[in-house]
Amino acid sequence: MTQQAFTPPTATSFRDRRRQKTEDDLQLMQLAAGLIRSSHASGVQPRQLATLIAGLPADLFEQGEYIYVEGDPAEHFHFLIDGTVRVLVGDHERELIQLRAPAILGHLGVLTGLPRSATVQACGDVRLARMSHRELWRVVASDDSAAQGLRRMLLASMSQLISQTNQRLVELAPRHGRRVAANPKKDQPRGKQQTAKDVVSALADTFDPDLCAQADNVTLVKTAADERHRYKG
Amino acid sequence: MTVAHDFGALPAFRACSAADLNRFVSTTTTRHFAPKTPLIRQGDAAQGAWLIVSGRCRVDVVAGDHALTIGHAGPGELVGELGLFTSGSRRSATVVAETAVAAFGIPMDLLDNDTIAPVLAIVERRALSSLAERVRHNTGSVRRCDDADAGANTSESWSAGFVGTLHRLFGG
Repeated sequence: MTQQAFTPPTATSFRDRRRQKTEDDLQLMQLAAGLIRSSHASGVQPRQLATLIAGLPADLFEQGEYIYVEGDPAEHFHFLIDGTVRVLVGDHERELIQLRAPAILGHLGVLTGLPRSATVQACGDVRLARMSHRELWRVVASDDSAAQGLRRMLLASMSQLISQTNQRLVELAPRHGRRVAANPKKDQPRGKQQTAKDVVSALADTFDPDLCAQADNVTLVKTAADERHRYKG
Repeated sequence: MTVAHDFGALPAFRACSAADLNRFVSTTTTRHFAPKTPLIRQGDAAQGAWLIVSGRCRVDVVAGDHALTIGHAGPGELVGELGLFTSGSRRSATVVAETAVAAFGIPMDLLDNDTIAPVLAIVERRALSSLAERVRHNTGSVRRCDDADAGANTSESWSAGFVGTLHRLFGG
């Protein structure tokens, strides 16, 4: 891995330098817009992220070099600016996915304090902008516009991750959750008197269809026995 | 005791000026929820979030007639953040009031309102920390469930389950 300032000083004359800067600014704005688009983040302007990324040091990786190793402590995260990376897990480095620029990498570990949950390897030449754990929290605590953009970008990513893990938990709920009444009074206004039909509808699967059909003609009556039962309960 | 007073008394917002707090309170919508009332329903379109001022909520994921409690939220915490910081999503969990709850509704378009930026910045910083905690909690829950399902063969299930989910999104 090699490190360099984000903008390479290739131009010499004032006019060349100005043109180079304009091109770099444009590239940064496109990168920032791509990051916002891919994360579906709201309330973030491309210029906020572009300003932030412009001030970060760049890391360059070549084909096959490791950017993160599974299990290592998460000390920094990256904006993937150019190139493609492979995400690998397990001792046999099973490939889960390939990510192309623009993308944000490794921020989860930095925010949660959890170790790297996967290995990330460069596919060809890769350029990234690096932000350390300390720098991240310094920026997050700041009130400036770039800090606001980064906060919202990270919040969008984290929200989506929680949504994804929630979906996984939904799959696990039938085996590991508690049993509840199906769809409890979902569309029923509060305070509405409950009829026999409401009760039967809620339990339709377990009731005889003929009984369901007669439910309109039945009214629930609170009896003295109900009151005694409630007191005892 | 008003909701605005309760809000100003929350430790995270004590440093805010009265003018900032008043602007935030007058810009957002104040709602009161009775115990057992849902603030958010899983599957609904995610539009905006609730900032809890007082009371306590339970966060459940629901599948048919089963529910799994995945967390709780209290004063100063944000629930339904997916509807605030991303667009075009659906609620991934149900949030139910366990006690009487007072909350401020924050629609997505308020993110562009610069007059409430100082208070929103605090809300965002706190949300970043609490979401990190929720990720840790969810990670632990998924891992425990996967481990229980897989018995002795835990490492494979872990990879296929949580890590697969994680890296479809982030990769690192």
